[in-house]
Amino acid sequence: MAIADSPKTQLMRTRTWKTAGTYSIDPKTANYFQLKTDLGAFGESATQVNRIKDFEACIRIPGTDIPFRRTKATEPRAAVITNAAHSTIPKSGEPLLRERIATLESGSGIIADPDVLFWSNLGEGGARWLLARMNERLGMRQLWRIADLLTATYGVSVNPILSDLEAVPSPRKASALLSALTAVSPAALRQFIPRIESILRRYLGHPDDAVRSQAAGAIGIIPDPSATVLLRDALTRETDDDVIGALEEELAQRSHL
Amino acid sequence: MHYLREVHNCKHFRNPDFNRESAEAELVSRDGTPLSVYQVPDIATADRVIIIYAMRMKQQPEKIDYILLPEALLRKFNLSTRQDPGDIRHPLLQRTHHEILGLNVNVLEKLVDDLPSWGIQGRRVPKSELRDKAQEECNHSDGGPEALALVAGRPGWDYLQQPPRQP
Repeated sequence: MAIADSPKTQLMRTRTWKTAGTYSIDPKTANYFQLKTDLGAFGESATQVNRIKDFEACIRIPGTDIPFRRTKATEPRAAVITNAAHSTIPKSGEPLLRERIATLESGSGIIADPDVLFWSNLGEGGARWLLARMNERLGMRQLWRIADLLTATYGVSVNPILSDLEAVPSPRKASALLSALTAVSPAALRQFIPRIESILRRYLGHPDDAVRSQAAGAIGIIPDPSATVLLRDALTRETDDDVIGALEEELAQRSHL
Repeated sequence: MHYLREVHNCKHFRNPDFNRESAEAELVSRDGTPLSVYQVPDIATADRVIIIYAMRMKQQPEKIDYILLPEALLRKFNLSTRQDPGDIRHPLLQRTHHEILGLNVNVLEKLVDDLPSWGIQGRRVPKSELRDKAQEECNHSDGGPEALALVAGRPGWDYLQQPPRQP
């Protein structure tokens, strides 16, 4: 990919560079990537130069054709949402993504900002790649790490997660995805509530009791009175003691709200 | 001595609900790496380990299942273990974390075939219990501050930072 003008040059050219906004790097490659940033928050000149260099380094994932959209590290994660220019990851990106995810899977705790930005910038294509990876023979710990990553990149991952849940994932994967959804901020899920409600209704009748327990725990996403109705319906059908406990627990929490 | 392994559904290991395919999927390790387990001498330690493990790995308190593999079972299949403190920042997890060596696909299939005869113990810790016990772990003399540090930055565990309610 040829870049006609470096982002640094473009940014330095503009006289309004302290104004917040969205910049297309080059009209010819505008569909290929966009650099979205709030330039007003950069601060003093030394920082400005460093930040701009940082953007340059992130325009393309080294050694691949995968474009990289970047937002500044201090921006709230929700702001990472950009128009996903890519629905699938090119084959050339596979080795790098595998290397990247292997490093992340071996860790624990909060997902670091650079990882959140990296995967967010891949758009829904990146999320779908992660979801496909969850179909491989992974341990629970690896599954959870990917689920955590999907939660952290919710701006691009919620739609693919819901699509996967609407299909027929393995019980382990279904649990991990329900867990990932549960940890996403309710505000970010608001537009998906009818879809989520339909998904949870289905998973509350899943043959695996561990999945039903997880679905019960995810009911918190749904606002009342729908959530209470779902829980009461499930309670009338449920026979497993552990799941009944989980449903009652959620119902009790509702009554305290 | 037993080895604790977190699983998706502990009931898949119990008779008569034993599910061979699921059991095998639970015990597979990624890309041939050793299987990660925790060595526990008793059920009380197992319960503590799984709570701290959940605090380390999960975004928020939610149900978690585990099974206990008897040491004799591993010996039967010539599987050895080695302690691996790794980068785990909690004293109890550091002490108990082990890796099972030599668990290739062939051995795994035989081991899973043998599981029903061992009466594998498993347990599900419900969300409410996990929430309460996580609070206890934060006040534990063995690794309380480290347990609290494990959940730092994850909003689902924020309740642990708040002082306990007055009766």
